[in-house]
Amino acid sequence: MLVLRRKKNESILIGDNIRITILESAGDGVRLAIDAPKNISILREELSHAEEENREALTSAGNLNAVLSLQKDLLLKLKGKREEMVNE
Amino acid sequence: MELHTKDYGILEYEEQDLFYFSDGLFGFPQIKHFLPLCLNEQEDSMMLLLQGVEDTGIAFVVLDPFSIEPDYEPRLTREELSFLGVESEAELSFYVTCALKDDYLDNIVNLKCPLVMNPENRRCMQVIMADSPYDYRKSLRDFKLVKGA
Repeated sequence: MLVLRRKKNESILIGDNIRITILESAGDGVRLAIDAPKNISILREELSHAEEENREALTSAGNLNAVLSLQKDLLLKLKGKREEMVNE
Repeated sequence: MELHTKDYGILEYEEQDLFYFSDGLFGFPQIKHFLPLCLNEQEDSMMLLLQGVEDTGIAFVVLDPFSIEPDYEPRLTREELSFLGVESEAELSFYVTCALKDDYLDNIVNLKCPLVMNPENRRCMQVIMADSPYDYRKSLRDFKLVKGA
Protein backbone atom coordinates (compact mmCIF):
# COMPACT_ATOMS: atom_id res chain seq x y z
CA MET A 1 0.00 0.00 0.00
CA LEU A 2 1.22 3.48 -0.85
CA VAL A 3 1.08 6.01 1.99
CA LEU A 4 1.52 9.71 1.18
CA ARG A 5 1.62 12.84 3.28
CA ARG A 6 -0.32 15.78 1.82
CA LYS A 7 -1.12 19.30 3.01
CA LYS A 8 -4.29 21.29 2.66
CA ASN A 9 -5.11 22.10 -0.98
CA GLU A 10 -2.58 19.59 -2.25
CA SER A 11 -3.76 16.83 -4.55
CA ILE A 12 -2.88 13.38 -5.72
CA LEU A 13 -3.55 12.06 -9.19
CA ILE A 14 -4.66 8.52 -9.90
CA GLY A 15 -4.28 7.46 -13.51
CA ASP A 16 -4.99 10.10 -16.13
CA ASN A 17 -8.29 11.45 -14.91
CA ILE A 18 -8.81 11.10 -11.17
CA ARG A 19 -7.72 13.88 -8.86
CA ILE A 20 -8.20 13.90 -5.08
CA THR A 21 -7.64 17.16 -3.25
CA ILE A 22 -7.41 17.68 0.51
CA LEU A 23 -9.78 20.56 1.31
CA GLU A 24 -9.64 20.58 5.04
CA SER A 25 -8.41 18.56 7.97
CA ALA A 26 -9.88 19.08 11.42
CA GLY A 27 -9.62 16.74 14.37
CA ASP A 28 -9.85 13.19 13.07
CA GLY A 29 -11.86 14.23 9.97
CA VAL A 30 -10.65 15.13 6.50
CA ARG A 31 -12.65 16.75 3.69
CA LEU A 32 -11.72 15.57 0.23
CA ALA A 33 -12.67 16.80 -3.21
CA ILE A 34 -12.68 14.14 -5.90
CA ASP A 35 -12.61 14.82 -9.63
CA ALA A 36 -13.32 11.69 -11.61
CA PRO A 37 -15.16 10.62 -14.75
CA LYS A 38 -18.88 9.94 -14.25
CA ASN A 39 -18.50 6.22 -14.91
CA ILE A 40 -16.20 5.77 -11.91
CA SER A 41 -18.15 4.72 -8.85
CA ILE A 42 -17.16 6.60 -5.69
CA LEU A 43 -18.61 5.32 -2.44
CA ARG A 44 -17.93 5.87 1.18
CA GLU A 45 -16.74 2.43 2.25
CA GLU A 46 -19.43 2.23 4.97
CA LEU A 47 -22.07 2.71 2.30
CA SER A 48 -20.79 -0.19 0.29
CA HIS A 49 -20.96 -2.42 3.42
CA ALA A 50 -24.47 -1.18 4.16
CA GLU A 51 -25.63 -1.94 0.61
CA GLU A 52 -24.08 -5.38 0.71
CA GLU A 53 -25.85 -6.27 3.98
CA ASN A 54 -29.17 -4.98 2.63
CA ARG A 55 -28.79 -7.11 -0.49
CA GLU A 56 -28.12 -10.19 1.59
CA ALA A 57 -31.13 -9.50 3.81
CA LEU A 58 -33.33 -8.98 0.76
CA THR A 59 -32.77 -12.32 -0.92
CA SER A 60 -34.16 -14.31 1.98
CA ALA A 61 -37.34 -12.43 2.82
CA GLY A 62 -39.40 -14.00 0.03
CA ASN A 63 -39.49 -17.33 1.81
CA LEU A 64 -42.62 -17.16 3.94
CA ASN A 65 -41.91 -20.43 5.71
CA ALA A 66 -38.43 -19.33 6.72
CA VAL A 67 -39.83 -16.04 7.98
CA LEU A 68 -42.55 -17.69 10.03
CA SER A 69 -40.27 -20.29 11.54
CA LEU A 70 -37.78 -17.58 12.53
CA GLN A 71 -40.60 -15.70 14.14
CA LYS A 72 -41.74 -18.72 16.12
CA ASP A 73 -38.31 -20.00 17.18
CA LEU A 74 -36.97 -16.60 18.10
CA LEU A 75 -40.04 -15.58 20.06
CA LEU A 76 -39.97 -18.80 22.04
CA LYS A 77 -36.27 -18.42 22.72
CA LEU A 78 -36.50 -14.79 23.81
CA LYS A 79 -39.62 -15.30 25.90
CA GLY A 80 -37.93 -18.27 27.61
CA LYS A 81 -34.84 -16.15 28.32
CA ARG A 82 -36.90 -13.30 29.69
CA GLU A 83 -38.74 -15.63 32.02
CA GLU A 84 -35.44 -17.14 33.18
CA MET A 85 -34.14 -13.65 33.92
CA VAL A 86 -37.28 -12.74 35.84
CA ASN A 87 -37.09 -15.97 37.82
CA GLU A 88 -33.46 -15.38 38.67
CA MET B 1 -55.62 0.15 -1.25
CA GLU B 2 -54.31 -3.22 -2.34
CA LEU B 3 -50.86 -4.59 -2.89
CA HIS B 4 -50.47 -7.78 -4.93
CA THR B 5 -47.45 -9.77 -3.78
CA LYS B 6 -46.06 -13.08 -4.97
CA ASP B 7 -45.19 -14.46 -1.54
CA TYR B 8 -47.79 -12.91 0.71
CA GLY B 9 -50.91 -12.67 -1.45
CA ILE B 10 -53.07 -9.57 -1.71
CA LEU B 11 -52.48 -7.14 1.12
CA GLU B 12 -54.94 -4.42 1.99
CA TYR B 13 -53.62 -1.24 3.51
CA GLU B 14 -54.19 2.43 4.13
CA GLU B 15 -51.79 5.12 3.01
CA GLN B 16 -51.00 6.00 6.64
CA ASP B 17 -49.86 2.43 7.37
CA LEU B 18 -46.80 2.88 5.18
CA PHE B 19 -43.26 3.57 6.31
CA TYR B 20 -41.88 6.40 4.17
CA PHE B 21 -38.17 6.38 3.29
CA SER B 22 -37.67 9.46 1.11
CA ASP B 23 -34.16 8.22 0.23
CA GLY B 24 -35.00 4.51 0.15
CA LEU B 25 -32.66 2.01 1.78
CA PHE B 26 -28.94 1.73 0.95
CA GLY B 27 -28.72 0.06 -2.44
CA PHE B 28 -32.48 0.39 -2.98
CA PRO B 29 -33.13 4.10 -3.49
CA GLN B 30 -36.11 3.43 -5.74
CA ILE B 31 -38.28 1.90 -3.00
CA LYS B 32 -39.68 4.74 -0.91
CA HIS B 33 -42.69 3.08 0.71
CA PHE B 34 -42.81 -0.11 2.75
CA LEU B 35 -45.86 -1.79 4.19
CA PRO B 36 -45.05 -3.21 7.63
CA LEU B 37 -46.56 -6.65 8.17
CA CYS B 38 -46.75 -7.99 11.66
CA LEU B 39 -46.41 -11.75 11.36
CA ASN B 40 -47.31 -12.40 14.93
CA GLU B 41 -50.90 -12.49 16.09
CA GLN B 42 -49.97 -11.29 19.56
CA GLU B 43 -49.16 -7.84 18.18
CA ASP B 44 -45.67 -8.18 19.53
CA SER B 45 -43.85 -6.14 16.90
CA MET B 46 -40.50 -7.69 17.71
CA MET B 47 -40.32 -8.75 14.09
CA LEU B 48 -41.83 -7.17 11.01
CA LEU B 49 -41.79 -7.90 7.35
CA LEU B 50 -41.31 -4.68 5.40
CA GLN B 51 -42.95 -5.21 2.05
CA GLY B 52 -41.81 -2.83 -0.69
CA VAL B 53 -44.68 -0.99 -2.39
CA GLU B 54 -43.00 0.32 -5.55
CA ASP B 55 -41.57 -3.16 -6.23
CA THR B 56 -43.39 -6.07 -4.60
CA GLY B 57 -40.39 -8.33 -5.26
CA ILE B 58 -38.62 -6.46 -2.49
CA ALA B 59 -39.19 -7.26 1.16
CA PHE B 60 -37.03 -7.20 4.27
CA VAL B 61 -37.38 -8.95 7.58
CA VAL B 62 -36.56 -6.55 10.40
CA LEU B 63 -36.20 -7.11 14.13
CA ASP B 64 -36.59 -4.85 17.11
CA PRO B 65 -32.91 -4.56 18.09
CA PHE B 66 -33.76 -4.06 21.77
CA SER B 67 -35.44 -7.46 21.88
CA ILE B 68 -32.14 -9.18 21.13
CA GLU B 69 -29.74 -6.58 22.56
CA PRO B 70 -31.42 -4.79 25.48
CA ASP B 71 -28.41 -2.46 25.92
CA TYR B 72 -28.47 -1.28 22.29
CA GLU B 73 -27.68 2.44 22.23
CA PRO B 74 -28.17 3.90 18.76
CA ARG B 75 -26.81 7.44 18.31
CA LEU B 76 -27.80 9.59 15.36
CA THR B 77 -26.18 12.78 14.15
CA ARG B 78 -27.91 16.12 14.66
CA GLU B 79 -28.62 16.22 10.91
CA GLU B 80 -30.27 12.80 10.99
CA LEU B 81 -32.43 13.72 13.99
CA SER B 82 -33.52 16.92 12.34
CA PHE B 83 -34.25 15.10 9.06
CA LEU B 84 -36.63 12.85 10.99
CA GLY B 85 -38.11 15.82 12.83
CA VAL B 86 -37.18 14.88 16.38
CA GLU B 87 -34.93 16.15 19.16
CA SER B 88 -33.62 12.83 20.44
CA GLU B 89 -33.31 9.12 19.74
CA ALA B 90 -35.88 8.40 22.46
CA GLU B 91 -38.66 9.61 20.14
CA LEU B 92 -37.75 7.13 17.41
CA SER B 93 -38.45 3.49 16.61
CA PHE B 94 -35.54 1.31 15.54
CA TYR B 95 -35.42 -1.82 13.41
CA VAL B 96 -32.50 -3.86 12.11
CA THR B 97 -32.43 -5.96 8.96
CA CYS B 98 -32.18 -9.70 9.39
CA ALA B 99 -30.81 -11.99 6.67
CA LEU B 100 -32.44 -15.40 7.03
CA LYS B 101 -30.42 -18.63 6.94
CA ASP B 102 -31.44 -22.28 7.17
CA ASP B 103 -30.78 -22.31 10.90
CA TYR B 104 -32.24 -19.20 12.49
CA LEU B 105 -29.24 -18.97 14.85
CA ASP B 106 -27.13 -18.24 11.74
CA ASN B 107 -29.33 -15.30 10.74
CA ILE B 108 -27.36 -12.11 10.37
CA VAL B 109 -28.49 -8.78 11.75
CA ASN B 110 -26.99 -5.37 11.03
CA LEU B 111 -26.88 -3.27 14.19
CA LYS B 112 -24.66 -0.68 12.50
CA CYS B 113 -27.28 0.45 9.98
CA PRO B 114 -30.67 0.55 11.71
CA LEU B 115 -33.86 1.59 9.98
CA VAL B 116 -35.15 4.48 12.03
CA MET B 117 -38.71 5.77 12.11
CA ASN B 118 -40.45 8.73 13.63
CA PRO B 119 -43.74 7.07 14.67
CA GLU B 120 -45.50 10.46 14.70
CA ASN B 121 -45.28 10.94 10.95
CA ARG B 122 -43.84 7.59 9.72
CA ARG B 123 -40.88 9.37 8.20
CA CYS B 124 -37.99 6.92 8.05
CA MET B 125 -34.36 6.63 7.09
CA GLN B 126 -31.64 4.05 7.23
CA VAL B 127 -28.51 5.37 8.91
CA ILE B 128 -24.91 4.20 9.15
CA MET B 129 -23.68 4.72 12.69
CA ALA B 130 -20.06 4.96 11.59
CA ASP B 131 -18.62 5.76 15.02
CA SER B 132 -20.66 3.17 16.88
CA PRO B 133 -19.19 -0.04 18.29
CA TYR B 134 -21.78 -2.11 16.41
CA ASP B 135 -21.05 -4.47 13.53
CA TYR B 136 -22.54 -4.65 10.05
CA ARG B 137 -22.90 -8.39 10.62
CA LYS B 138 -23.67 -10.25 13.78
CA SER B 139 -25.19 -13.68 13.84
CA LEU B 140 -28.11 -14.33 16.18
CA ARG B 141 -26.16 -17.02 18.00
CA ASP B 142 -23.73 -14.31 19.19
CA PHE B 143 -26.40 -12.55 21.24
CA LYS B 144 -26.53 -13.52 24.89
CA LEU B 145 -30.31 -13.43 24.87
CA VAL B 146 -30.63 -15.73 21.88
CA LYS B 147 -27.79 -18.14 22.59
CA GLY B 148 -28.15 -21.25 24.70
CA ALA B 149 -30.60 -24.09 24.79
